Amino acid sequence: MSTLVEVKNLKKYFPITGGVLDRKIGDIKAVDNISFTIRKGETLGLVGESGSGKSTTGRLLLRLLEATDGSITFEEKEVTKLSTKEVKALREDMQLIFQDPFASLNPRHTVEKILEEPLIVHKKGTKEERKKMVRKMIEVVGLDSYHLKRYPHQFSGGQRQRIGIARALMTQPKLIIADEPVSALDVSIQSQVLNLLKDLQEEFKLTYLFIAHDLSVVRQISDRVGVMYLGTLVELTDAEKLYEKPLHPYTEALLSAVPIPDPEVKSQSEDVLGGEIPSPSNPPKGCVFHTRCKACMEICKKVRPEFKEMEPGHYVACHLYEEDMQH
Amino acid sequence: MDREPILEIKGLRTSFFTDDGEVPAVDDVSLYVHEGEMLGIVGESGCGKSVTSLSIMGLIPSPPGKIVDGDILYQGNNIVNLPEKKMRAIRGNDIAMIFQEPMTSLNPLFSIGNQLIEAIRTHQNVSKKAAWDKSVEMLKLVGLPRAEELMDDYPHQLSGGMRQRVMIAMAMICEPSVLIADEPTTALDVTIQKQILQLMKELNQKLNTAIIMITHDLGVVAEVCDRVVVMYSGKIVETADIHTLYKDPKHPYTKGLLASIPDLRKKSEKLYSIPGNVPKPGSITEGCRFAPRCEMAFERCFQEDPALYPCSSDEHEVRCFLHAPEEVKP
Repeated sequence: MSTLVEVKNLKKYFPITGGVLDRKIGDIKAVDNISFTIRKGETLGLVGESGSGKSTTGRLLLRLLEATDGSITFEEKEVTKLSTKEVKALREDMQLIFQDPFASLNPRHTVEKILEEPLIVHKKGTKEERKKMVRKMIEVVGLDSYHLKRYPHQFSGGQRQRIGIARALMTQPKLIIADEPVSALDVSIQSQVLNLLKDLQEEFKLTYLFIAHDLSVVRQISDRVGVMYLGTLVELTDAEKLYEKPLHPYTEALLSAVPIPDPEVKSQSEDVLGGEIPSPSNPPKGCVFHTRCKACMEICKKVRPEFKEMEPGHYVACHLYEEDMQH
Repeated sequence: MDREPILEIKGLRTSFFTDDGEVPAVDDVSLYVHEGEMLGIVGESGCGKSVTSLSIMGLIPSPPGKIVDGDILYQGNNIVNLPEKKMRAIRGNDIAMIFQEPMTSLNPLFSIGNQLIEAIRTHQNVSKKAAWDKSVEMLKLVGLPRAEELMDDYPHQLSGGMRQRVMIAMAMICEPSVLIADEPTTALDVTIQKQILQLMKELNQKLNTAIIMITHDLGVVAEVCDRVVVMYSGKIVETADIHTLYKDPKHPYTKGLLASIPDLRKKSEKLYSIPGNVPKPGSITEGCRFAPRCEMAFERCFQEDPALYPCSSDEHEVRCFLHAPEEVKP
């Protein structure tokens, strides 16, 4: 499979200002030196707790935020260096699906207008052609053409999310960044939307970057999964491997914290990950996870582990495995 | 069980009176919880689970809301339509509640200590010093580090998980016999959620507090609850002990709900999903509320409202004609 997106040493620091003169007094390291690739046609899941930098990563890819350092290559184009005009063209190929289906649709526009707008912005087709494309797309996402004359408030959460998906698909993008697309939905609706996303991927040969905090949801849709913690990627590998044989202690802890909907398997491990995510303005020295890690060693407090390929296709940033390689 | 339940709801109906007429948010709900028991109420948005809890607390905004019918018995005494003064003595003291969003339920202008002490002194005639000590002790009990210093902190200085612990401390400070937790972990990360759930289970066992856990997450229920009530569109559709419900669900909605949870343990090619949308409260008035989305529905389901029928095992009830006893069948 060829590579669609390549991210190298990406950083995003938000300045903290303070004092009378509003000088910069520090940085919030939202994304701190991460590298990964997204292959054509795959779904890359990105999981992590709040404040881990997963949404920031998605926004950097779309150039909704400017990177502090590092590179993002999308089909041989260097995203971080594009001009404003080129960025607009880029977004034709890269679209975003938002979390909140209530806040992301303009309440004063009909669904028809909402769906037509991306085509107008990107100057696609004549008025007739646009209307035709809109009518086609609304059916693709499982709604009917009579829905087009309605306003967002007339739809339920699940239907709104379908409209959000249809809007993202209007420009026939290659990459879709879905930021928590199902977390605002009821369980019975969640699976409808996940199935729709899967079907659309097949039909339109889409590539997804699927950002979510729900590990069970990510497993259902992803080919590969990356785990983020405090602005860094700690592990990245095939979904199957990550869930069955996680290497990083944080991934393990995260997986064991998910409540299983079966009272007979009441949490195998009673170990709870203690503490909380430290502040990204003052991340711990060395490995960012060492303050909560059960397997913490001396070296972890001093040296930040590299994000290395331990097995083919299995990347981990942890000193535990670096030692293994030396012996 | 012959024990007297600590809290019992009988035929509760809570409606909201809007311009479009009466909208029954909770329709004929009966349930109970024993001392030291953890009861889960599960359902999707608009199923009436939160309105049920607000009805118990006497916190239904009126107008437009009103408890139209039914009894809420606390230790055998009806607390529906109690005068506000008497209700206040119960609320927080005997029955306490934790809300979903800890940030919006703490007052940002007062220190943690201030708010905890207020909670105690509202209900108990104790000195400030005694209330202070009790507050510190409570903060320690819910596992907060450096409790003394925390008393002078303000809510914005704490993280989400810490705030929720403070909320729990505040709810538990008067040693209530019933604690209602409305989506207590929904706004938290999984690792923090696990900490909070364990804490609640501990308090439940240590202090013998009855806990009603309201959630949309069947995983959370499986983790901590003893018994479950499943609600759909204002009605209880199934109730059973936790093991029976997950092993042998009877109602098509419960089955569908369980089947549509994405499983962490395996990847399924196609996720099961219940067709259609979650109905708005009051939009279906005739027949079984779930019938329009039910794959098993037959004619009768659209015409008549099924009752809660007892199933073979103890305390297992289901509102579905498929499981109606012979004599009720046409």
